[in-house]
Amino acid sequence: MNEGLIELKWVTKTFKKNKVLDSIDLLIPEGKITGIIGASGEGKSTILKMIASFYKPTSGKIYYSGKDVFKHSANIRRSFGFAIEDGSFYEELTVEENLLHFGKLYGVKKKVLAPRVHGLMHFVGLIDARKILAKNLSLGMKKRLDIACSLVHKPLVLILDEPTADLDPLLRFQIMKLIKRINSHGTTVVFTTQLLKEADELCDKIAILYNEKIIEQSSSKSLQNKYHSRDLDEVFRKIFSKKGRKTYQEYKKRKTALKENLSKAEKKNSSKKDDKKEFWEEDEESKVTREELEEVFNLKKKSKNETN
Amino acid sequence: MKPISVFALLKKNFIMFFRSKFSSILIILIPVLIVLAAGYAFDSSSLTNVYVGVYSNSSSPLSQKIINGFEEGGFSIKDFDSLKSCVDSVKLNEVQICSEFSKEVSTDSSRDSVTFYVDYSRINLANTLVNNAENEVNSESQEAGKFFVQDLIDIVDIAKENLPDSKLKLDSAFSKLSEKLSEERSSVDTLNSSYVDFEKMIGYLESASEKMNASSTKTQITNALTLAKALKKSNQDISLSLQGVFDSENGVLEEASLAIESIKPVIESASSSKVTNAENVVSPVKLEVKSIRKNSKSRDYLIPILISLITLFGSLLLSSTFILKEKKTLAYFRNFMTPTKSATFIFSTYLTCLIILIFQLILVFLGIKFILGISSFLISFELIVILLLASSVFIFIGMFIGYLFRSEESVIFTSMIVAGIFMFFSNVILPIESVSSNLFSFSVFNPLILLDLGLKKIMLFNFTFSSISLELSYLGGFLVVFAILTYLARKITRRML
Repeated sequence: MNEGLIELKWVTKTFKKNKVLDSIDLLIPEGKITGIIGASGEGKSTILKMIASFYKPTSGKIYYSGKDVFKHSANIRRSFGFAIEDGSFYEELTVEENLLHFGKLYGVKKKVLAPRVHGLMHFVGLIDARKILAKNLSLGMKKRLDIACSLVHKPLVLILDEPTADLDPLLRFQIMKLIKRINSHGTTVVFTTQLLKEADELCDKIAILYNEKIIEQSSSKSLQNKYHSRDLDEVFRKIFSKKGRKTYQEYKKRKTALKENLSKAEKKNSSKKDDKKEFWEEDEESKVTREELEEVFNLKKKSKNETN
Repeated sequence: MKPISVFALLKKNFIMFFRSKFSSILIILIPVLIVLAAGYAFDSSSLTNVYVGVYSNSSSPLSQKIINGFEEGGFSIKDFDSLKSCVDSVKLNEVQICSEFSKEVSTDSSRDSVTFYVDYSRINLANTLVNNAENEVNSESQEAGKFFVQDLIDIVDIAKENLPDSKLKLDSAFSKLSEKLSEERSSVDTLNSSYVDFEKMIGYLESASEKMNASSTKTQITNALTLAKALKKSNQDISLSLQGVFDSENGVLEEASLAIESIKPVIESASSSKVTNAENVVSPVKLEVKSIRKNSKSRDYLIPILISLITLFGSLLLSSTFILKEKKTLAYFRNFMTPTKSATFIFSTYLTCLIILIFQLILVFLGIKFILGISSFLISFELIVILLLASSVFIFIGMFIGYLFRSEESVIFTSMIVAGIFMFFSNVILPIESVSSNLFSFSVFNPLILLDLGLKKIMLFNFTFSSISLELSYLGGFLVVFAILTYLARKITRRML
């Protein structure tokens, strides 16, 4: 594995009195895809925002190419592209206008910007939608627009916060394909996800965030070998069984938001599984397969749309 | 601060602003409509639709004249049977002022009395109405006073004309009397001198009688002596009575002399009096109110405060909603992730609001000139500077509010409250001089007052920079303070993301 392009050293983050991250050490290799996996509210987005110098750690240091990101934040931001879960673009502007606008804010030269925006729209598959207002785009198109906005200044590092959240499997597949294509051009990609399949398929390196700490960081293969498992699901089950049911119950308690969303979806799918069980539980009967997990998330999305 | 970033942000702001066509047209046109409406509404200085309640327990020609005066002044009259119902109508806003006409009776005379009952919760209207009503009453009182005073003046004029003649006649009578008296004195003196002759004659007769023996001649001499003594006595009596007459005539002469002397100053005063008409006595001081700006209508004086209010509300609401809208966009996070500095975002939002406001003000001035037909206001360099400075202050206050609050309701509510405070402690609702001295010392720093004062000086009286330097320096201070506060507030919102 390559030497770390981004390095988090003993990083702790506290919001008021609430400790979110505790003494994290993380190495993000250059030119690779690194996935940070953890449940909702665990602090994945906080790690990404600290890497992008948006949040300052309460203690510890973050380095990019050996430089403290907070001492060189203006320059380092030019090297980073950041796409958040909800998207970050102007809904009242068209696809093209958004890309041109952010290109100018990132300081891309006028001569370079127009062809780059054109190329980007091709790259993310939005060329036909270039004159459409962002608010009128479909969810998948919005995700692609957001990623395109993050790429308009040709960043060396692309940070993606839950890029496939709320997407149906087809859209998720498209986004994953896009991330691979971006990475194939040499861009280092760091992203967060709750979906193991996604992490397994995409990531060269996986960091598992649990209970305010990074408890594992390695390639999927290494983790499978370490835990003598066939796939990442099994790795997770073993990790959580190691930590014990008690720890899991604490974990479950803290993640009420996810549980509520899931239980809504599970109610509609009650014939298939017990609503008290989660996908990583050891109980074979109630074990949720990858496919079922996707189904749960699909139902979650549907129920969300219905609520809206 | 890179110009390309500023232009990019400006372009984005304007694209988004004009994309919502209806609201952008409204934002631009509403101030123009306000000015036009206000211009037409306050085209004259007279009051209309004002009802005057009248309760009269003793009708007199004077009170009737005053009531007629109200009607001629454009007020509608409403009669009441009792004072209570008249006052209650003021409370219910059925009439705006209640006037009670009565007779004030004293031991030696009676006169008309007028009492006004007004609702001071509408202080401006109350003051105007009282002022109007007082003018009516004063005018009628003066008319009545003039009538009485003219009578007096006529009497004085007659005296002035006749007194000198009378004095001349008195003088001539006096001199004749004096002559007569001197004649009388000489008669008395002659009479007194004949007394000595009588004495002598008696002496002669007595000596002749003594020398004579008894004879018929002696008898005759004795008889002559007796007759002479009788004559002497009569002469003495006549002299005494003449002296009495003379003394009394002398007294009369002295009194007449005193009377003539006392008439003199009266004649002199009457001749020196310059009062020729009653008006000079009833209103010795002629009160006249003249505008310090010639050929102006009352609406002309409203234009500076109207422009100030449009600048205040336009800037404050526009900038605060602009910031709120920006904060609510999905892109707000990405703005912080770009290498563009906070100052660039703040400056471009400020510039966007300023350009829109300038456009609004241009339309307002065009409306004033071509629709209201007021062409006496010159667009001077001083006017542009103070408008830009004040707009900038209000824009930054609005931006500060926009960054400070999260919800739309809070931002609009706070903006309205701030604008309301500025308005309340200005001359818009109440004269600033009517607030307590402590608040007054703060109120003079109110940016709305500073702008209003500056605009009045420039627009109404064509003053130059030197006369508005104080207003400009205070506004400049506010601009710096709120620009810094806006910058800090934006930094704080970043932490909240």
